[in-house]
Amino acid sequence: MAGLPEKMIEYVLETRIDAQTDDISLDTFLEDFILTHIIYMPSNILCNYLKNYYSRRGSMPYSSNGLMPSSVETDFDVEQQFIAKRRVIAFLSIWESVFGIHFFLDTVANSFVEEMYCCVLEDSKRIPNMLPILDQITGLRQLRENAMRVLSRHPTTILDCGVYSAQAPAPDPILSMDTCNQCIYLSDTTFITMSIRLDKNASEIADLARCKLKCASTHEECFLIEVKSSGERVVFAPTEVSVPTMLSLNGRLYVVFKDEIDSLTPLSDQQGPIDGMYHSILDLMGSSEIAQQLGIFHTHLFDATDEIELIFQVIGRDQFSGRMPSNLDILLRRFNEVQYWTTTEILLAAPSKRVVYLKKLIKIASITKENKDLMTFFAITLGLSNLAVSRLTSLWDKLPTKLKRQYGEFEALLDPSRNHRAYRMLIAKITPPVIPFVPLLLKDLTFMHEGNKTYFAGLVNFEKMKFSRYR
Amino acid sequence: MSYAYLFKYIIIGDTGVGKSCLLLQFTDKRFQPVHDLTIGVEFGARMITIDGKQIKLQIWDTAGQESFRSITRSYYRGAAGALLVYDITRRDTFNHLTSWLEDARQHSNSNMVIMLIGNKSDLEARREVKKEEGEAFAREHGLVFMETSAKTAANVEEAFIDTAKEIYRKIQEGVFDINNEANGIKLGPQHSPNSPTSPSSGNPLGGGRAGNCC
Repeated sequence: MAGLPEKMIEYVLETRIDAQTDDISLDTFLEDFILTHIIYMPSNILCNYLKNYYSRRGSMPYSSNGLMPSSVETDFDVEQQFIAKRRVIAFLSIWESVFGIHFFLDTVANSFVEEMYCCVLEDSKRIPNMLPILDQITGLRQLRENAMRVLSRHPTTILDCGVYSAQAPAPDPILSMDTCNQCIYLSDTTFITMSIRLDKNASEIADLARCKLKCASTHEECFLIEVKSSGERVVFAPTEVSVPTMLSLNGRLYVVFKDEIDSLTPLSDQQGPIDGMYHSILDLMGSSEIAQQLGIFHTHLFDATDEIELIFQVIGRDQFSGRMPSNLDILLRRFNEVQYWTTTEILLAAPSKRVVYLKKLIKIASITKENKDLMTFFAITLGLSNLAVSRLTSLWDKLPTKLKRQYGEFEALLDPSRNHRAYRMLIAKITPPVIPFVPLLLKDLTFMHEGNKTYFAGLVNFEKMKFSRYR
Repeated sequence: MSYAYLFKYIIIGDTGVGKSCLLLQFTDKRFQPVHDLTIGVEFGARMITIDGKQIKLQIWDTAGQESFRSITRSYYRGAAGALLVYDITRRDTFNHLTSWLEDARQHSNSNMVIMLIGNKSDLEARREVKKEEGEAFAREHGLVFMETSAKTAANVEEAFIDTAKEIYRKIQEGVFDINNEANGIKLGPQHSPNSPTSPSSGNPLGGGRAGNCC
């Protein structure tokens, strides 16, 4: 199916909304439209359309440029006007239910609720039977107020020099005004620590850092660079947003001139914890407790992440003004953190303890799998498959056959054969709630996006949008 | 359609260098929705002919997952060929080749054929990496080199097929042990001496499925 965006919303309002009642599950076409409209119909256009539809007094032939009615063909009677209003409010209500609190992060949608409330209130004075509609929009307005209590909080710190802050809001979402305390280095490795709002882009961060370092006099262009612990250098595009949450573990952020980029190398403290200073948590807690605590934390991070952030990440992080995938960044960062934690636990353990830790980590992985926390499960499995651990043959030889077999089964679930068949079979069998393997969601969406046109002869390729509902 | 050999490939390189586009260009020239998520449907495969023999290429791509380096172990295992891709308009993607190559060499068998690809050759005006630099890097590390454009399809066929020819040549020379699937090569069902089952994945690829490759 393909169509002009406004024809699709008209179709939704005319044919799908009335059929949607509370006691049936949500119409998938409707849900797909709501989840993906941001790609081809930004919220302001959508809300304008809804407003027009709401206030129309006759059928709306389309002017050539789309949304505005060019003339009114036939006058609606009061009943038809009433139906149009009911549909718009019902649509709004479903839109909210799909995204929950994330709906109110969309500033356009957020203020539209208030606007429609005023309209309905006004109309209820002159049109009979408006009461149920008024009730519905009042309910929505109440949800908005509840959400605003969460969302209008003070800005909070998310990462404090790379460490996840205790004040971070999960399971409530990170907001664009939230900040990260970030060390920013110069090429001579002197650094300053700055509080950076997540909605500041790379170019603004470079300017701010330069002002603070009092080297703003020169007009030479500056670059924001990450030097990873592996020595890789990543140049951030000037429009890149939510930069601090994107950094890799132990990555360092530099602001430098172009000719300095190639001289940047990792610092010694980027190589992780030092032997002898490291104390293992594995000695202090039981397997079930560790698995459970990881599960609770990861559920919070997962709940804070909106599905729409996957779309931001795949289509372009800087393409959706004011919205960014910070929660997704934190989730993925955490995934890597657990991977490297696992590897580190084995490598820094005293040789006599290694096999004990290995057994315990496999045990923890198996419990997280039972707990349907596949994020932790795969992070630990991948951490143990790190070459630095997997090549320790004598260590693996000490492992009881049963555990070795069990770990082999875990690894087999990551086999990419036949498009990750093993994993897809596993997740198909699990009843929600489940924390999925998010990297694969990103891969699937990447291929859906690259492999399918968004528009075909100017029409939105809705078949593509339907793909996106796979989760 | 049956095949004489099956070669497993992987595509690696930084985010945004056009890995998925290369794969899509090579495997999906027909206009059809791609990436069927139906469980078990194979994705990213195509038949080619070398020396009169049907060869099935099975290509695994890490697009979208680049920040999870560890994932690559399960990809590398049993790959006969790798396309290592950078973007000629972004120097940092070229600078990262060393670490991708290190990853590839660590995790794969030493005979794996690696093809270095400078993608986006259609964007000549924005070029940051000279063709000679790509050539020099390839020479230094013993790789085959090619510049491609996934957008205009320039050299895309060649990149995949030349890699296959190189693998095929190594088979002829006896470098690869074709009975060891860890090398990323499988004999087609009718060619194998005994029934081919894969001990690692447990998913033997029967000839019946091969025609149904995407």
